[in-house]
Amino acid sequence: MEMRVAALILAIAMSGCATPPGATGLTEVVVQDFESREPLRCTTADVDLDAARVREFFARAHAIDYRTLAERHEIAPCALLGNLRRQGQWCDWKIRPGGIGQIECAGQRTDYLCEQCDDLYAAGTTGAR
Amino acid sequence: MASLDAQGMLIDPRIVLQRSVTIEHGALDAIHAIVLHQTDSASAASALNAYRSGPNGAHFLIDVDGTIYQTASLNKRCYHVGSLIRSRCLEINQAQCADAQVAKARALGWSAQTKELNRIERTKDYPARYPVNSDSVGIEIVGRHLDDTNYEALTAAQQGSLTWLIGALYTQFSLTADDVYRHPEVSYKNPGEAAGATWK
Repeated sequence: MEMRVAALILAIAMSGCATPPGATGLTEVVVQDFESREPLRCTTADVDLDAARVREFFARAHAIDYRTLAERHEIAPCALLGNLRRQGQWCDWKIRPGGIGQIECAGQRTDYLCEQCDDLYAAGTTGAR
Repeated sequence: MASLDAQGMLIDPRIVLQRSVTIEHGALDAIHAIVLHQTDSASAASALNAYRSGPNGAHFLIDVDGTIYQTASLNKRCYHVGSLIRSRCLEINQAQCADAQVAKARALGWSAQTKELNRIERTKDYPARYPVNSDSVGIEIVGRHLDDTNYEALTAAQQGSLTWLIGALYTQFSLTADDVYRHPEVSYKNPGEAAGATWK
């Protein structure tokens, strides 16, 4: 009985503190393209990830509502794009500099924030342009 | 004509006072500018509800029907601009921007560049730099983002209320049309935010 109560309390406490999980179970991640509204300022070097690091990005990231994302974070004018499979379905993904990403499946978009991904961005760059 | 009371609230029949102290953060010692935002919500109720748990918000909120809420004292700072501001010199006239520090910052990658440009800008006073939280009033306009570069257009009622409110703030704080900015002009945001807002 005491164990059950303790487990229940732990579950309640954790549900109150939990952040929405990252995207796992992604397969067939493919890097397809790059886009930039400011090509001289925001370049491929700013989001130089390969497929493995894209998968890792989404595993570490947590889902976030767009409003909070827009209020509290900088939205870079460039992004790496591609597709992936999630639960058997093809989806589009996009990752911007600064730990911001999104996955869109059948018109439903989820935004992600990764605050522990600096190493993934750094791995593909040589520093200054 | 609207009048400002001792609590920093603008008193006028057109303004509904709905102050949330949770979005107020310290004294606002000077008001040099106005920054326009959109809420990315379908209603004012959603934004007002979010303000109750704070910490981000702006001084005014304009609903789709044009109702103007004052949600924070004009004596208080709100966190509405963001922590990193753009380089004013670079944004307005890149070719003429001879700032050596800015040139050096531009050689950096995007993330490092934005931080360094912010550092440089914050050594300057307005209007040599864009407004920041500590010297500006924020106005939120109810409207959703549509995609990465677009937000909903303002309703006619919202535009009418915005024009009136900006005029009242011009009078109160000796501001002009040059002191009004859309949020993405100042900081790195969705370029469509408040793109539909106009003012004279």
